[in-house]
Amino acid sequence: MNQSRDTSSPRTSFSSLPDDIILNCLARVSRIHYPTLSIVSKGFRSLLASPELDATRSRIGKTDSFQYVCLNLNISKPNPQWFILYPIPKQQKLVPIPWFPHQHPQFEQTVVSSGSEIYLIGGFVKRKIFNTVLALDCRSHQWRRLPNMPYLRGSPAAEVIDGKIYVIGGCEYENDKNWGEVYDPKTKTWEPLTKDDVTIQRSVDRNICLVEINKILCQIYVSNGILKWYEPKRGLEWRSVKGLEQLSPNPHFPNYLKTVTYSSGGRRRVTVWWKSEVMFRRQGRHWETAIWCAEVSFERGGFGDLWGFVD
Amino acid sequence: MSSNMIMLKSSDGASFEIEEAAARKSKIIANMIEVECVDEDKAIPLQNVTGNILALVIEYCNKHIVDDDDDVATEEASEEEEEAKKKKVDDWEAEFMNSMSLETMFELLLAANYLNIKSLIDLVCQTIANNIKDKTPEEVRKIFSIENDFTPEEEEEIRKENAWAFG
Repeated sequence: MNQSRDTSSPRTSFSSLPDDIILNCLARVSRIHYPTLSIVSKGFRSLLASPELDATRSRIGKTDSFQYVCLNLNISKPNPQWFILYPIPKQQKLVPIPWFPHQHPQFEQTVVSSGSEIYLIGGFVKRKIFNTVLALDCRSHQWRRLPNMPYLRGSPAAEVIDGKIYVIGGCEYENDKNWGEVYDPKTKTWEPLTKDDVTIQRSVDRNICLVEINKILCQIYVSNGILKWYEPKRGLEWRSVKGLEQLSPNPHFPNYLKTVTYSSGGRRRVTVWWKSEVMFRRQGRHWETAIWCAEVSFERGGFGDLWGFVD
Repeated sequence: MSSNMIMLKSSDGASFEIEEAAARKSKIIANMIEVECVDEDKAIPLQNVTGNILALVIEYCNKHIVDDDDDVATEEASEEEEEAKKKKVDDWEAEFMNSMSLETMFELLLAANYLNIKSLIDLVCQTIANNIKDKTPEEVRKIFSIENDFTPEEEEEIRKENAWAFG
């Protein structure tokens, strides 16, 4: 081997790399960094906005997973706001997402997600029921409206199966005709569902999560501030998950939980949410609301108990 | 294991001997071998790759030829063994990438692109991506010597458009 020492080639810089190589690098960065990166230079900005970037991401199988949160902190004057939970440890914060610019339901909407979109189905404004469906594109953070459902639905049960949105119930007066419907994004149409041709069961409550514990599917939900579980196959009553008492911000009020959602990474864990209010004395008094969440995994104990562990 | 050796010649005239199996990591060289335009006594000239970069490419190929062979031979390897092996490769790759300057990294990437070695392209791109994330625009410009070709007004406009991310 006789290695030459001549290394007088012209300096190679990042900008001199071919576009497809730069795209390959950018595609491997999480989307949360794209707004920052698009300020670097005109070249970066146009590559980040190009359809080739999405193509590269899907070729290398790069996906991001974010948690989205909708908070409504003022019950008397509803003003829900959507946030992304910024996924960088130590600087975790809620980044607000601009709302849909037109009038939209603010109460009792059903939320489901599929791929990179979140759907808000039905709901109320004041006491009026709506049949609107809004979609949030999580890549661009743009809202758009889907075709209206044929019926007005308050807080229907909904689920995405094979890319189609199944919606059941929520009408003021329910009958065989308005029982349920399914939306196909390919044809952009709603089709009626009958009680026979649906593969999903209507869930009792929208806050129920299905969790696999020792290969058995259990239902988990929050009732009166307590995490409860239910094993449909055995048909036992709803029972409290044990072991979560130490999480309570105030030992005098152990029933503190607000709601439960799926965690990322399979159906083994859930995220529980609660809030606490702390008073600050800064130029007079004001209350600050802190939103808490914790991931909980489960383990069977003796006597048919279910224990929760905070991860 | 005896295997065919072939010769590669860099743009600056350095010659390298490499096992054919390792050289086949490069689709371009594999192609040349397929169509038999490789003369056993003659080195394959690689006009776009300098000697110091070619040495790195060969180091990478030699390291990965063994792994590929093992993949086929030990299908019954336990999950832990597989994991341990993968970790070993990951550690080696991290060390390999750590040892070079950014400029060398770009040249290696161009060489991998020219020689069409997909796994090496992916490795270098991922390393560069790790260098980009979590950085401010100013830091990215500085690290990669990229000129800011926006006017201050244009930059302000883009910041406003993406205000949600800077909030």
